[in-house]
Amino acid sequence: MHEQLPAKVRKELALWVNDAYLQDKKIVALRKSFLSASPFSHLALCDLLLEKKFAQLERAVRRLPMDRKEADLFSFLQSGDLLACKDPTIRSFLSFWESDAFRTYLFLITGIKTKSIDSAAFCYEAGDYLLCHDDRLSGRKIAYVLQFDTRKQSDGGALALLGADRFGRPTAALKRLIPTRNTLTLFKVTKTSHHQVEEVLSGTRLTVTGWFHA
Amino acid sequence: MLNQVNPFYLKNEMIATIKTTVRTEGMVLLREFFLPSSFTVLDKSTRNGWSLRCVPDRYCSQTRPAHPVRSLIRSFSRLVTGKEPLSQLPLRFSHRSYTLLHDEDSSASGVVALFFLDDWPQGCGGEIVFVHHGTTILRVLPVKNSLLLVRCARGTRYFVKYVNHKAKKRSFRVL
Repeated sequence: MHEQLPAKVRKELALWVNDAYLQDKKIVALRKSFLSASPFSHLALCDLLLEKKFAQLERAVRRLPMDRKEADLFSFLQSGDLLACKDPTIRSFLSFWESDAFRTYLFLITGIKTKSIDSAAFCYEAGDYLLCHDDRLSGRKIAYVLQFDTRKQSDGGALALLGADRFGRPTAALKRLIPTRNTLTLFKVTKTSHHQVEEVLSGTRLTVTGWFHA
Repeated sequence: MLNQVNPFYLKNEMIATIKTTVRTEGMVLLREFFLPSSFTVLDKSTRNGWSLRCVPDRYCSQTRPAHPVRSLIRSFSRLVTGKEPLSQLPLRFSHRSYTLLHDEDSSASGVVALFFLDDWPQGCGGEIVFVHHGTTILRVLPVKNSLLLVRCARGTRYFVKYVNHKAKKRSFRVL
C-alpha cells in the first residue's frame, strides 16, 4: 500500500482538512491505530476539518429540517438524504467527502477501497438512543460519524463499541467515544462491529452520519 | 384457580363480550383483573428474585422463574379466545430495558396474553408496540392489575420500547 499522499491529492485535501492530518508520518500512525483498535477497527479524528469550513457546514446542518423517527431500535430526528440536499455548503462538503482525494486518504488509513457514500444528519434529544446493531448491509464498508456537539460523559450520547463472543454475538460496551465537535469517527463494518448510541440524557447530539460503500 | 379473577370477568355475558371484542377489535385490556386480595399476594410474591438477562441486539431486561399464575392466565385466555396464548417469560423493565424485533422471532398467528403488575407513565418509553409487517398497529402502556389480550395475525410481532431516564427508579413487571 502507498504510504504517501500524492501531491495532487494533498492539495485537494488541504482545502478542507487540517494540515496535521496530511503529514505522511501521521497517516502511517493513523493506519496503525485504525487496524489495531479494539474491539474492532475504528478511529476518531479530532479537529479534522478546517475551522472555517467546519463552521460553515455546521451552520448549514443546524438549519436542516428533520423528522422524528421511532422504531424498536432507535429514537431520533433525521434529515432527508443529504445527497439530494440543495444547500450549496452541504453540496460542497459532500462533493469533497465523496471525492477521489478523500476516498484515497481513507484508503491510506483503513486499507479499504470505497466508491460512493450516503449521508444524513441526525439529532438526538434527551431520551433518544440507537440500540445495538452492526450496520451490515450490502456494500457498506466504512461507517462515519461527524460530530457537531461537544458533550460530557454525564450527558449521555456516547458511541459505545461492544465486544463479541466466540460466536460473534455482542457482549458488553468495551469502549465509549464521547462526542466532540469537529471529530470524525470511522469504523470498519463487519459482522462484529456491534455498536450503539447510548441514551442522550441532556442537551442534543448532532451528527452527519453515513457509510462509504464499495 | 379462576376464583382469584374478578368475578365480573367470569360472567357468561362478559365472556361473550370479551370474545367479540378480541375478534372484532383485535385486543382488549381487562382492568382490575384479579381480586384485590389475590393481586396483593401476587404483587408481593413477584417483588424479588429478578435477574438481568441481556443480549444487546435482542433484549435487555430482568427475568425470574415462571410464576404459577401464568397457568391461570393461559386458562382464562383459552376460555375467552379459544386459543392457547403464546409463551411469555416473567419480565421486569426499568431504565435501559428494551426488547428488539428479531428475524428469528415467531411471527405465527396466535394470542398474546400479558398481565401487568404495575402502572406506567407516558413519556418514559416502555410501551408495548405491536407491529404488523413493519407497520405499528397497537401501542399499550402497562396498567396495574390488567390483562392484555391481543389477537395476532401471522406476521405480527411486538417489542417493548426502550425505557428512558425519565423512568428514574420506576419499573414494571409483566407475567
